[in-house]
Amino acid sequence: MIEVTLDDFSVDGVLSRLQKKSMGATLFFVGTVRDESNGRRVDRMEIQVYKAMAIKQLESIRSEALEKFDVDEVDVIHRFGNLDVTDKIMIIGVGAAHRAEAFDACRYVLENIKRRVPIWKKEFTPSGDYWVEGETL
Amino acid sequence: MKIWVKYFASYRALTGLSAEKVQLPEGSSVEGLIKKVKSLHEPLRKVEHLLVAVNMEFVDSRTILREGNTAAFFPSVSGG
Repeated sequence: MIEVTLDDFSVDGVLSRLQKKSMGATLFFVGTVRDESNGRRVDRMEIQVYKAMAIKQLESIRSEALEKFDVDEVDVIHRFGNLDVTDKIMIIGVGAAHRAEAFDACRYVLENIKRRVPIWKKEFTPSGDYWVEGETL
Repeated sequence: MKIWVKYFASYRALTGLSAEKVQLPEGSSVEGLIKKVKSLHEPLRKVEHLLVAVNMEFVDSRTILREGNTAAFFPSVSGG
């Protein structure tokens, strides 16, 4: 499942959706808004997205992970809009029979999100607002 | 031909726009589109390497455009 949304999400909700009897390992990565970046205090964050392309890229990354790794399911939810410090930004959920593949698939998905998905974060600090430097292919 | 161009993140501030229609000769490439948008928006000329997607796929400058294509210009992504 792939979702790009303004709304907050529940980790328990993702677990309930993801879980199958075949899974011995269910792994989550949750990204959250930090209160510091590059030596500056961060008060809040704005996330912008090219939604249709982001969904397409996330679906591709999910399909690749399911093909490359012996995992049963990969779910990704990524938020956009205005977020406060400690708010959840995104979650990757991976379910597999065994943990090693789950860790590898999760890392693969995360690293590819950071390079390929058209999402941008802007940090609001006491000295102004700054677009986060990105990584791209 | 008309190409629909979208701008994201800092490029919206640089152009003052989120989207616009751009006129190009038939058979133009992405390189031609880049030259056109830079001619329309002086602040973009300082950007050395513009990321471009056409119809939601990353492309390189040699990609040939067609009437009705949607291009998107944006800086390096920072999701996750």
